[in-house]
Amino acid sequence: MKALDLVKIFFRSFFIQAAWNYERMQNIGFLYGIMPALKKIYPDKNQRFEVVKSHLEFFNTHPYMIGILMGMTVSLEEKTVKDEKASTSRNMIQVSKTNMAGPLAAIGDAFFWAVWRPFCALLVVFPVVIFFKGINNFVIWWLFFGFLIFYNSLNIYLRYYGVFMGYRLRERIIKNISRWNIQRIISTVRIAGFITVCIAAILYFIIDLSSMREKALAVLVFCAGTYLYRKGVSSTKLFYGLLFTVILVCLARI
Amino acid sequence: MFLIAFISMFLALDNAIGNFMISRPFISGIITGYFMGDIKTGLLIGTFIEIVWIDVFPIGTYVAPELMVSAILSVYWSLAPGGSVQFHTVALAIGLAVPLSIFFRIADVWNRQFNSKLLAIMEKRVDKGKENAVSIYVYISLLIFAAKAFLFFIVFLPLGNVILDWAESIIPLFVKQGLDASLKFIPVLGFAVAFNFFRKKKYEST
Repeated sequence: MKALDLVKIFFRSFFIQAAWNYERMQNIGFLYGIMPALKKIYPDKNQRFEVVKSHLEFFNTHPYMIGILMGMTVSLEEKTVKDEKASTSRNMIQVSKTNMAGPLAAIGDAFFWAVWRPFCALLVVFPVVIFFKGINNFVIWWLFFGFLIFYNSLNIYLRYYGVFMGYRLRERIIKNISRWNIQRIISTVRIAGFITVCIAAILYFIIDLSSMREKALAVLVFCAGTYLYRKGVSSTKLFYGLLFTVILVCLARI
Repeated sequence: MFLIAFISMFLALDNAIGNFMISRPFISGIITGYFMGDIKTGLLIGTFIEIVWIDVFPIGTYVAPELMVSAILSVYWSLAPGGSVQFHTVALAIGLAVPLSIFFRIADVWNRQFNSKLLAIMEKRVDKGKENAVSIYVYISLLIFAAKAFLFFIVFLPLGNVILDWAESIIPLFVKQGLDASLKFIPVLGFAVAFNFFRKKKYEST
């Protein structure tokens, strides 16, 4: 496989979620991504048929982790063809692929969805909410592109290097991943997010709330919100609850 | 309106292609605001939605509001009447957009169930030796995904305007005052949600 073929896989990896379906989830996205590579490894169509069919089975992982799995699968397929004595059978490839998909999905969900994305969003929300009056269009576009570049640097990095690393290391990549110390990274980002929220809330309290009554009400909203949120009330319900309560307060004043 | 529906369709495709997070509410809020001529209001609404629903993430079968939809609809509805934006319109617009964003997610579930049916058809074609059915299936899925979003926005963008116009004319003054006042506390509620969201250990074993 030439580097160019791997770059092709990288570009096709962006379509992993395109044909997401409830029955087998990302199977088509995966097959679509490695199809050009498969055509190169198995030039004979009849020989390729079984392989194509096997990659139509159920498959699901985190979208940003897909590069690693695509690179690894292509590498394993290539090994099977090149070295006939190799122990990598059809079945083995399938097992390696699905066995890796689970843990990678868990890492991706725990890191990207649960902390990295909210944290990046928070970094933008924080200045906007507090200094809203002073913000001009220049700052807005700065925040806009800043977020997209900052957030996606990891997304694109992982997809691109994932393909190459997965191709080179195959199953051994799991050792590399375990060295990332993902638990520690998650905790660090989460705590950084927590500190940011605290600073933001205090600044908002000092800068944006003017009268004593507003400040008292804000504390009340914060405490009630915290209490209800811990009881498992969803954000949507809290939002409507807030609107409803404030309207009632206004009614009482009249 | 067609322009906004078209842009929304493009933003909605983010969930199908690449997950670049251009479908985050403050990003789509800024974009909608830009095309409606008021970036700042777009940003404000997007930011409110971003922080109050910061805990929503796409895991499992739980049907959460599609935040991008809330942002685009409420920015459009707030800015469509023209003139200076009134706070209670913003609060009312968000309030009306949230149920629709949940509906959008439900439509998304239907879409993905339908994809399973398409999958069965595609598999038969592959069995007959037509491999390019895989690529065709990807393009058809994307087309349906985009068409669904476009159709949704082309219906609800104008419909919401009508509903909000009507609501403006019938709701009493104290409700307007209440909604005006609530805007200052939406970020506080957001802080409460974010505070607890980041405080809690979710996936950490230690």
